[in-house]
Amino acid sequence: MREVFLDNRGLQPPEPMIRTLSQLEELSMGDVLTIHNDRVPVYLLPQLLDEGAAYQVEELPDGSAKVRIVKGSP
Amino acid sequence: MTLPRAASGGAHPLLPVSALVGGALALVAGAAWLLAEPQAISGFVGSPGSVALTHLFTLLFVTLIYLGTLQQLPAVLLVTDLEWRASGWVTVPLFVSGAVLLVWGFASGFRPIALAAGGGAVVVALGIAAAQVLATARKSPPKDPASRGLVTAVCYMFLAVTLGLLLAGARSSPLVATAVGYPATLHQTTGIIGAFMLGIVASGHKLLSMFALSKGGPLWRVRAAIALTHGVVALSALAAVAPLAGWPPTLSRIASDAAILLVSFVAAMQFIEVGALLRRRLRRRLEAPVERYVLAHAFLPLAGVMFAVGSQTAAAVALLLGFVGLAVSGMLVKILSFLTWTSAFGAARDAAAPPPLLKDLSRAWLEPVITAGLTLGALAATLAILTGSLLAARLAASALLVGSSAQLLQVLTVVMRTLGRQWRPASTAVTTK
Repeated sequence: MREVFLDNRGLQPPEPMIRTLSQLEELSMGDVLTIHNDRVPVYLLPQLLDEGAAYQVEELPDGSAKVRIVKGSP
Repeated sequence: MTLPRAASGGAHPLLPVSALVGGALALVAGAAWLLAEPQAISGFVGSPGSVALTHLFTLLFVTLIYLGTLQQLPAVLLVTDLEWRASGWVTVPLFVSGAVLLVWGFASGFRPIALAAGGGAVVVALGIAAAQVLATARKSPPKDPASRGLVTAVCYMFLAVTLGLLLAGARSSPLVATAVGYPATLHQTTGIIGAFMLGIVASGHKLLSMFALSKGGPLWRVRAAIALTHGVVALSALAAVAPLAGWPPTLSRIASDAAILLVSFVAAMQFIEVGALLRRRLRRRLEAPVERYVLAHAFLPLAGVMFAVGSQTAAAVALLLGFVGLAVSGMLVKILSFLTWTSAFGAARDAAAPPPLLKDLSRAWLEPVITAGLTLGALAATLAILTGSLLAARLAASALLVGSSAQLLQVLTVVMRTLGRQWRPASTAVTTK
């Protein structure tokens, strides 16, 4: 199982989403992608489900959010 | 009914959702009205019915949807919380009541009091909305040209309705007419190009990138489109002011011609940029609403042909019903799905059943009906304006009624399916603080 981390902070929408989904495509089933965004990426979440991925959102005190994504099969 | 909660730093989701549903409903009402009165587009385009229908489309369909998305989109694009979140509870109802009064005022023979009261309400509502977007942008300044374009388009929207109110005043009072002339072309140009086209160029750049997963590329075309739009409005203003200032009529004509030339450049930029975004996309198969957004751009060259054959009105109809109408319709379904999904399921805290997929929220079979109906309607309406054919006008009205009814059904389906499922929390989504 691979674990990849992407720091998407400071990027303008929709760059974080495109970066995340591009990276997800390169991973295999069961691999984990963790992203750190300026805010909870609300519009990414339904896209992740469409890709068959499971996710866990952690909101941090500074307003940013980490999302742990486990790649599944679409 | 318990409402879903906000999830994106924007206003309460009821505001954008009700505006989007209201916009879809208004298009059905407009199409039914056109079916009852098809001569509104095959006859004199300055008739009360024609002007009323135009304002129903531009205000209660396009601008209402625009106003609805402004309750959420700036917060997402500018990565901050929307300022004065509660102001939408004033602006949306004020705008709708003003626009309805305005449409009624036009339809019943340009009633000055209805136009003044309705126009005034619309101006105040969009003034507050523009101030809200500017305040949000001040807190978190836009860092890319597309976000800046969106903020600019909102300002042009306010300017367009203010000019419309002045125009109504000029029609009713010789004193106002002497002071400001009849800035009809400036009002139309600011609305269609400054507000609608620039809004689609700017927000479309972001949204198409997001929906097609298009990798970033050079942004010079977006920057150029924004600069050219400023040029179009400035030249149209010069053409409107020149007669009042006693400047030679040639100056006004040159300014008008130059403005039209710049509009064609803006349209060409957008046409090429959408092509570039599609070439860079990771998602090979586009979803049906996104395809409709892309198809809208086929009306840009058609509008150019209409200008070339000398029918400015047919060109305006191709731009409004075809380009703006299809682009807004495509984004309406996509934005509504995202909005309702994120509101209902975006931060579910426990685990029992999986949330639905986005595609499960809508009925796939409705999409081709919407696209075919609205496309055929826009084509037939352009033909009706060009030829004065009552048959083409009836065809336009029928097709628009089919397309807009399917769109309303789709919009209601998305809302009802979300409301019906929102109490089943997500198994895959867990949020911790």
